[in-house]
Amino acid sequence: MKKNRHSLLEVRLIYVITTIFLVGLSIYLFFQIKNLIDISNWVNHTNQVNQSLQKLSSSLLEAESEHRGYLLSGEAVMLEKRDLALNSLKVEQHLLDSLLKDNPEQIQNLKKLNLAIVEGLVNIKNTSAGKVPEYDKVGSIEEAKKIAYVKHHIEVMRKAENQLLTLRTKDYTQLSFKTPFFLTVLSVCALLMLLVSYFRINTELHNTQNLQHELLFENVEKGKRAAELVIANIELIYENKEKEKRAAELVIANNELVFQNGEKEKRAAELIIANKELVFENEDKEKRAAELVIANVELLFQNGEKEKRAAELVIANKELFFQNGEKEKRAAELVIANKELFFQNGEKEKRAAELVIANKELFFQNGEKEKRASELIVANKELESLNYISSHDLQEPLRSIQMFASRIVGKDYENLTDNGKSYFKKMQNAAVRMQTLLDDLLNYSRTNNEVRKFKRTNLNTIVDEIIADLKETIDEKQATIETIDLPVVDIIPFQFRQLIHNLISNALKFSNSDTPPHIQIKSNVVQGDELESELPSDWPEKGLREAKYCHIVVSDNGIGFEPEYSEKIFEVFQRLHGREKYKGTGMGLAIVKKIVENHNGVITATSELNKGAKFDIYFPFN
Amino acid sequence: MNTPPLTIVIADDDEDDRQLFSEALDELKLKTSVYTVKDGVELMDYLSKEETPMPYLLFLDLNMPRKNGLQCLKEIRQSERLKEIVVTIYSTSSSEKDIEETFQSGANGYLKKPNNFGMLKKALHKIVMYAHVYRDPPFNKANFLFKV
Repeated sequence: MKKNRHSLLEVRLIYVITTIFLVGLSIYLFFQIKNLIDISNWVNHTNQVNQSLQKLSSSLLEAESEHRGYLLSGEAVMLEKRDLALNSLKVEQHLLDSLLKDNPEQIQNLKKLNLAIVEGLVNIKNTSAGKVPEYDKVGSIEEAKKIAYVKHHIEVMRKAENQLLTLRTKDYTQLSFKTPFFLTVLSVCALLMLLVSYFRINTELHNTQNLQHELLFENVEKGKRAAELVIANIELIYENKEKEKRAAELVIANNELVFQNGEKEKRAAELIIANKELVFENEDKEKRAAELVIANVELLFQNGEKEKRAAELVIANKELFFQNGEKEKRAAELVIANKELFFQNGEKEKRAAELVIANKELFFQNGEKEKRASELIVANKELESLNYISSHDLQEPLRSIQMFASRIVGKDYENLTDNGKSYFKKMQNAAVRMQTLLDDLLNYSRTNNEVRKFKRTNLNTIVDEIIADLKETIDEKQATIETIDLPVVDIIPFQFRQLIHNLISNALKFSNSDTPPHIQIKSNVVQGDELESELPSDWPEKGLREAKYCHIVVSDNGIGFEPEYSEKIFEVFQRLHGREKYKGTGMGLAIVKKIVENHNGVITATSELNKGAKFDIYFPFN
Repeated sequence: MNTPPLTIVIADDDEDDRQLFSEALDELKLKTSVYTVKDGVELMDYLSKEETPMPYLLFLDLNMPRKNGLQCLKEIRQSERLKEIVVTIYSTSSSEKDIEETFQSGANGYLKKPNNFGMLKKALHKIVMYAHVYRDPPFNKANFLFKV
């Protein structure tokens, strides 16, 4: 930028100097040209004077000769010609007079000339027509002299003029040579300056253009960079958002992992508790065995006591005998009575001895029963796992049958005869029946096999889920399901779900065709001792009067059943109706019973034909 | 759109199931290619080969000879190379125990083998279309079991 400013000053200086130079040259040239014009004017002027003098001279000569001609011939025409010549002479005199105003020397000369002309023309002027003077030789000579004198003056003037002319011509030639030279110089200088300016401007313009281009390019570059920055910013914002999202997802994933870990830890803890419970149960069993031993010992001890008492009774009898002796009235009776008592005592002694033997036997039998019970547990478990595995494995070929059957129905059904189609349908139905049978068996064995994990659960949630599952059937049958006061209880959720599901779907299945089913599920908490009368005698928990029980009632307005079947319906594969009328495997209520038992509970069914059915479930509350 | 077909691998020891599975996928016309293996050992051999392309989806039967499905699932989830594979359990079993165990071991879905070819097609269509949904954690337990 500094360099540029410097060159700008330089340029200005050069331009000022050149301009001053050119202006000076132009002024000088102007004066030169003006001089030239002046000089040429003067040359012209001199020429004019010369011409005029010439004309004067010739007019004079003409006037003289015409005059002489008249004198000689007397012709009047000649006099007229003389007058014409005299007139032009006068004109020339006036012209000269005006031309020579600025030249004093020539004015003097002109005055002398004019005097000489006046003198020389006296005779000539005076001669008039009609009277021709005689030729006078002397007069003629005089006349000739006078004319010569005039001519002499003219000649003097001409010489003076010629002298001026030569001087002026010299000046003129000098000037006329100089002027084109200066003009050329001026032109060349101007041209040079023009050229220099042109190149200078051109380069400047070029530079400016380049600079502009550069600026424009830079602007474009900056624009691009700005756009890139904007894009980069947008990308950064987007990346940040992505990162935030990912972070949020990671947080959720972490939460889930934490939750899963928690679940795993819970399960581990539960397993530990289960193990502890097993250990505890084992200990319990050992304790019970020890207690039985103690009980036997006690029985032995009691027998001993009885013997003692018998001995005491003997003493008492003796005392009574003594008293009888004292009391005479009842003596005889007392004797008999005493004898009887004595006999009874003997019997009792016998019985006591028998009891000792019986106790020993019982002790032995208990041991045997425990052995058998543990054997049965092992056998049962084996049976159940066998059941589970076999029904599971049985499903696979059955599924293949069903799949290929559905393939045939989908692709080749039309190729079957009507008879074939009917057989095919029957085959498929049989497969479906087999399928449900296996499913139910699997469910039944599963209720035994699976880990019994109790969890605090809201029964309302379970019922809602089942209603959602069975929605289609419920809508189809226009059934209503009413729930009253369902509690939060400790249950095995998966099994309890199955239980309620089976009861509700049973109620829907065995509904009256003319009235829409109404199912009511209600619950209350009851004290153990209030239940004695209502429960079957074999309920293991019956003795627990102090405990609280949860009582759930599922009742419907369906077809019900005859009271004598109220126990049988809970048995495996028991059906009260033909398969054509009501589908099913006869497993549903067996599963229900098993699940209730898994909850240490009991279930009863009460019904009369066509008066609906009522199922009562009791299990320990929390 | 000239994309290569999506590779779907099925590991199942039952020949009928493999056949029906391939037929169902073929009929869906989803531009997929099926690769079948007969057991867990064969599956892990196939997957661990360097030139094997990463399958888009893996259907894993649980009850297989030599190496069962659960073992395969655990190995896949522990392998740096294979752990991203979307795995759907394809089993006869519908027991809570199996479902819970496979979920905890990192399966992305659980399909109980249907009894009807139409339902199989429907289920496969759904799983193939939504496989990417189940790829990223956190998938949730509620839609782990495919309902058909």
